[in-house]
This record gives sequence, C-alpha cells and structure tokens, in this order.
Amino acid sequence: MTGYLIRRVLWIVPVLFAVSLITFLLMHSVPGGPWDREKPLPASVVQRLNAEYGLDDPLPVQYVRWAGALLTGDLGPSYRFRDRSVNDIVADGIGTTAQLGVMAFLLAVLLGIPLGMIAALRQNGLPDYAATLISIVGIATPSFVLSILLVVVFSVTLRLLPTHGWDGPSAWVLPTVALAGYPIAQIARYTRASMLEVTRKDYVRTAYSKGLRERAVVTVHMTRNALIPVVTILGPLLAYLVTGSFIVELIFSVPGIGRFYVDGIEERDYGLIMAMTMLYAVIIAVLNLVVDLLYAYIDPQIRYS
Amino acid sequence: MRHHRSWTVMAALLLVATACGPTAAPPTGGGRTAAPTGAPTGGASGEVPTDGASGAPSGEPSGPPVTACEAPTEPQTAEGPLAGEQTLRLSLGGEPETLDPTLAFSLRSVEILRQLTRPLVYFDEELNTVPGLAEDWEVNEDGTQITFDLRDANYSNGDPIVAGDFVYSWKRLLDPREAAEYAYVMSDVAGASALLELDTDALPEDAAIDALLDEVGVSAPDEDTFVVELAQPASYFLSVATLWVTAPLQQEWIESEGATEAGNYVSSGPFQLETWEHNASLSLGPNPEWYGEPPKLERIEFTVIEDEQAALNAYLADEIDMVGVPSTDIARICADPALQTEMLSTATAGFEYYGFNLNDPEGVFAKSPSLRHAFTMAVDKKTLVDTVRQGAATVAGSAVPPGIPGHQADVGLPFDPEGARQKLQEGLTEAGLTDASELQVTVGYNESTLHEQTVAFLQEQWRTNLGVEVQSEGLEENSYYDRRANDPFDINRASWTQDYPHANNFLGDVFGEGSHFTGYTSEEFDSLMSQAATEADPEAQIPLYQQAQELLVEDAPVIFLYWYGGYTLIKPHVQGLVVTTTDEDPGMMFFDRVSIGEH
Repeated sequence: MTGYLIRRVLWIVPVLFAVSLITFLLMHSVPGGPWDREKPLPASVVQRLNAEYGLDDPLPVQYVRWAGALLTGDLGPSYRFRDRSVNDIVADGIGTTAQLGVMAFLLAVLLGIPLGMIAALRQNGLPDYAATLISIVGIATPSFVLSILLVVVFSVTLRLLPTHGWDGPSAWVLPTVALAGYPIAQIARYTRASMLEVTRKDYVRTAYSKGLRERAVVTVHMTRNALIPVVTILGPLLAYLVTGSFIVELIFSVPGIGRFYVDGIEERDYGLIMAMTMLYAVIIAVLNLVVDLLYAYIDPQIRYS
Repeated sequence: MRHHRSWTVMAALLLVATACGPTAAPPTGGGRTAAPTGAPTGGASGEVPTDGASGAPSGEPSGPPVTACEAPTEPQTAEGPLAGEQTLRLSLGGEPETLDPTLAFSLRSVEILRQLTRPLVYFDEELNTVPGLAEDWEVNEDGTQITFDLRDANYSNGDPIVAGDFVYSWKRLLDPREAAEYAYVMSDVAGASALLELDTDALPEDAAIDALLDEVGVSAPDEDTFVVELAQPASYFLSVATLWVTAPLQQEWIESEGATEAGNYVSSGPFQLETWEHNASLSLGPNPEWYGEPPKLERIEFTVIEDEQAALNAYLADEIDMVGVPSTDIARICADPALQTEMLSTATAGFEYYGFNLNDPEGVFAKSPSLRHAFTMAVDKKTLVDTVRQGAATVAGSAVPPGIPGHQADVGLPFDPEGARQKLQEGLTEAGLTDASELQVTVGYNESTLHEQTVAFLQEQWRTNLGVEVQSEGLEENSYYDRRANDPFDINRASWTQDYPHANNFLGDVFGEGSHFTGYTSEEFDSLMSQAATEADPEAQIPLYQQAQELLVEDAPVIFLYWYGGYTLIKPHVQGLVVTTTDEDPGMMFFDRVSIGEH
C-alpha cells in the first residue's frame, strides 16, 4: 500500500510536467500576444515590455526560466496587473475558491446521498418520483441557468439574499447552491441506482431473514456497499466543482481565482495562465488519488499493491 | 460572448490535466467529467472599449425596424433633502489593473483615478479646460512654452504639492523602463520623441536613458512654477495636461512598496482610497486635504461585478445606484414604466468604424477610391443603429463626435444605394475589373455578438445594394488585433475612443502620419494637422480640423458607422450628476458634486 502511494505521488510529477509543457506550447501557439490592443501600443513600448518580461527570449529559455522560478515557489509576474505578482493574485483568491468548492461538495454529499437513499427505499412511491424529478432537473440545468434563476427569485424578486459578493454567510448561500446543483443530482441518481441493486443482494435478504429491522439493514449492510459506486463519481464531480466555479464566480462576482483563468487567457497573461493550469492540475491529480484511496477503504475487495 | 474561445481553450487544458492522471481501479460507475459551459452573457470588459457596449442585441439585424428607446439625455436636476448616509454605490466591470496613474490604461482604472488625482488642468461641464492644480498658465508667443502657476494644495498625507512632483511624474511617464501605455501623449514635449522612438533593437543602458530624460523639456524653476517646453507648437496641449497620467506624483511614495494599496495611497484629488479588497471591492472617502469644495459624498463604494447582467440584477435588487443597460435589455427596460423613468441616454466620445486595407497598392480598395465610396454609401447606418444598437448610438459620417469642437453633423457620405451602384461601376473600372462578381472581399472582426450582427448587417447591405457577396471572418480578440496590425483583411472592424476631448485626438492621433492600420497616408491631411497645432486661436484652428475631416471623408479610408452611446439606469436619489462625453459611469468627472437624496 505504501509502495503504491509513493508510486502514485511520484507519477504526479511527470503528469504536471506534461501539463505544463502542453499548456505552455498551446498558449504561445495562439496568435496575438499580451500587448495587442484595440489602440495599438507604440513599437518601443511593446519592445520594452517584451524585454522587461523576457518575452523576446526563445521559447525554451522562457520555459526553463518559468519552471526554475516555479521550483522556488515564484509564479512570476502578471502582465495585466503590472504592480502585482501572480503569487499575490492566487493568494488573494484561492481561499475563497476553496471555500466555495468545499461548501458545495459538502452540500452535494449531505443532500444527494439521503435523497438517493430515500428514493430507493420508497421505490416508485411519491418520494422516489420527487427525488427523480429533482435529479433530472438538476442534471439538465446548467449552472449558469440555475445561478440566474436563483438570483432572479431570491435576490431581485424576494430580496432575501444579495445578488453578488462574498461578504458573510448570506452571500455564500446562492453560489454554493448554484454550484452544488449538478453534483447533488448526480450523487442522488447514483445512490438510488446503487441502493436498488444492493437491495436485491443475497446478504441483504439474509439480513432481513435474520429478523433485523430495516434501519439496521440499511445502515449496517446496505449503505457501505451501496456507496462504492458513488465514491467512484466523486472524482469527476470534484473536477466539475473546480471547473464549474469559473461560471458561478463570474455570475455571483465571487472574488475567487476562477475568473482569472478566463481573463488570463483572454489577456494572454501567460504567467497567470500557467499558474492557474498548474494549480488545477495539482488539485485534480491529488483529488483523483484521494478518491482512489477511498475505494480501498470502503471496498475491502480492492487492494493496491 | 467574447469568452467563447477562452472556454474552449480552457476546457482543452483541463482535459489534458484530467486525462493525464493514472487511475488505479477503473470506476464502476460511468461518471461524467463536466466541461465548463459557455458563459451566459457577453463579458463586460471595462477596457478602453473595444466595442461600444459589449452586449448582445436580441433582434435580428434584418428584422423590422425597431423604434429607438426614448430616454432623457440630461440627468434630473432637482435636489431634495439629503439622506443621512451619503454613499454612492457603483459597480466596476473588473479588477482595476493598477491605480498607478502612470501605468493605468483601462476606463475602470481611470474612473477611480479621476477621484484620486487632479492634474494641472481640468474640465468644466462643457469640457472646456479650466484650472486644476495650476491656478493659472501662460503660453509664450510662438506656442512652444507653457508656464503653469501652481496653487497652494496638499496631498492627502498633508505634504504640499510642488512643481518638482510634476517634473518627476512627466519624466516617469516617458521613461522607457516604465513602458507606460500612454507615454505617447507626451510626444509634443521637447526631447520626448528621442525617448519614444528609441531604437527598439538595442535597448540603451540606464545611464543613456537617464541622460535622455534629463533633456526632456519639463522643469521647476521654483516650487510653484512648472514649465513645459514643446518641440513644436501644439495648441491642443492643454487638453493633454488634463489626463490622469499627468497628475503629480511624490517620488518617495510611488516608488515605495505597496504604494497603490489602501492605507498607503497618496491622493491629490477630491477623494482618497480607503479600502481595496482585490477583485472584490474598493471604497473612497473625501480627501481632507482637498483644496476645493469638500465633496458631499462620505463614501463611494465600487464593487467588482464583471458580468453586465449580474450588475443589472444588483441594480434591480437595490445594491448599486447606477448600471449600464446591457443591449439585450434595452427594449425590456424601456418598456417598463417604473424603470423607464430611471433611464438616462448617454453619449461617449468615440466612434465605431470599418477600415479598408490600403497597404498593398495592388489591392482593389487601394486602387479605387470610388469602390470605397460605393461600399460606404451602400450602408444604411440609421437602420443599423436602430436595430443592432437599439438606438444606443448616433449615426456618424465623420470622426469628431458631437460635443467636441470641430464636430460636423452634416459631413459624411450619404446612404444612397443608387449612387453607390454608380460608384461601384466606376470603381470596377478603376480596379481593372469588369463585373462585381470578380470582387473578392473579406471583412474581419473580433468576435462578439454585437460585431457578428453588425457584420451580418453590412454583408446584407452590400449584397442588396451593390450585389457584392462579401465573406466574413471573426477572430478572438487579441488574435484579431494582431492580424489587423500585421496582415489586415480587406475591410477591418475598429473603434476609437477619446483620450482627451480635442479634435486632434479624433483626427491626427488616429489617421495622421501613416500610423493607421489601413495604411492611409495623406500629406495634405498631415499638413492641416500641423497647421492646426500651431493655431492657438480656436476661430482659426477649428476650420483647419474641419477641412482635414472633410478630406478624410472624401478619401474614405474607413467607413464611419456611429458615435458611441448607451443607456444607464440611475436611482432617483442620486443628485447633482454632471454628465460629460468622457464618462465611463455618468458623472464620474464630477463625483465631488454628487449627493444622495432621502429615499
């Protein structure tokens, strides 16, 4: 197990290298640079800026310099925000983005699993239909539609919650719900399907025939087994939460870092693009690892060696 | 939807990130990795505008004519009793790139800097130059030297504002090591061109740059006198001295670590920086050391709201006091009896235009001015403004916009399909073609819903009125600017917005000295520009600019479409707004006169 863990962690290194190299090449192959403007800048200014940021060096030199700085924890300068470094920008927003992601994840798990379980236990009953309806709507509704709907209903019409910002719990509610909508639906759907499958297993029948009450059967025998397939989708869902936050942050003006990814690409702010890509690559690689380890914990049949 | 391309690139990058991770046990469930969906609305850029209003009109350009929205152009003037809390709440279309006056370039930064700084010269309500930090000034006889007398004024930290601070900030703007985007506005100052036109292949040593900076014609004979020597007469130069980049800077402050952060910021304007939560919000309060009438507002709160639809919702939920109406919502809001009364129609000094490629002398448009006339006269700009822009613009025939001396409402090639067809025939002969079907023309633009609809409208006009099929190609923003600068399309979308309110900024700075992407050069035009620059008397100066403008219309290197405008919703309790054509948010040049009425 330890050997497996070490191997998996070591694997992340070449993955990050590949991601950084591909991003770097893609980014520089897109036409247009950071100093292209509707009002063109004088050639001398562009030349100065290129020299200042080392953009006139050959690409391999630029890459090596970037990678070297990264190893010392320096993410480099931002071209657009000239008196701030990428480190400053990331440090300012990462906490907010992480908080939004974690809250949405918890909400999704805490609502999605019970919803799926209730639906399965009352299959073809009213709760089942209600839960299925919620899942279908949740899966079919993109987060920006849900976001706008929530703002119009709860902020503009009812004036219960703020339309934007991140100042305190009342401002957290709508972005969290908007981001969690799709994961709630997915988790509920998987939980329901998996619970239904487990219900027909021999060991469940045995448990019932032993005379155990439903509550004991469900909690002791069914839940843990039923959750294994659910855990498998947590990885992709976490990736969704990371990427989906771009849109939710934009619509609710949440001061996270997601927006800088989009803006960075538009502005050709190379340092910012590289930093954001690497950050997301690390997050996704680590989350994948955690989810894989979680399987082993939940499902004794899985053994890593 | 200017985010479109970025989303695609981003999705690709993330796919790389997710796909590369090795997975131990293949998941039993078929989970889906969701790629980000497109952003719902056009991003409000807040940049020195690349499109008049980055929104998406809902109507099809070729649909039935829409009656333009009727809204007042003057804000309400009645002032009622003041509210207890004097706070003006505004939205910012994004994080300001910097509050360093030398380096700032976007309108959203400039809006804040207009509150935090004050240059030598300022404007009155009609954009005439009036004393700012200079109490008075004198121009010598041949117009090459301006002597400014500074008034007694202090920075927000209590230090006096001295002439040496102007010498420092003006040289800093020209210092190539700062690489300031607006350095070009100094080009008339003696010694400036040596710095602006430095050999770009060999970057000189610091000592060489310092020597050049010493030669720049700015000096401070004493603490209250600032003298500018000009390389050549530039009658518009006082307008340049109103720009935020010319504000005084204390060297010790601006060179210190974290100078532009709240708490450190040294302000020379009516307000000072109180808080700045990066990417979230920023607030200003009155500068206690301000020399003028103290502002009535106790606080101006800016909240970063990038999405224009989100900003509109914030306004509807009464969280902000003003918002630009996205073009998708103009019709709806105009029809809403309650909101309609809060609407203000505004004009922004700048114009939307399409430029012909004249760089290659063998190109059809370079060979034939008649063809350029034909393509211009075939476009019904009035319908374009009423449908695609929903009335949020003014049809333009030339460059200098309404409100700027030199503006000519009646100059411009008319919409005349009949005449256009005649010109087309002449043009085909000039270009050595026999039939319109031989014309191979592509129009290029930077992608946004607005530009797509505009280009579709233009194609339809050229097809209907000239019988010419024009191809179109949309590129993502920076790719497009790169392409336009280096390898332009036959016809290219472009825009110009004002830096300083003077005819020279709409004529000479755009089309002068062969610097334009179209490749347009005209000795006659350039000579009119330099004549006008030497003419201090407006009576003699303005006709020269008008003559140049008429020449430009006749030469037709570009199709002028419209002067920018828009609609803004303003809460009725916002009082005392003074609207000018340089505004990002209405009234921003005079927020020190605004107050909040009881509500």
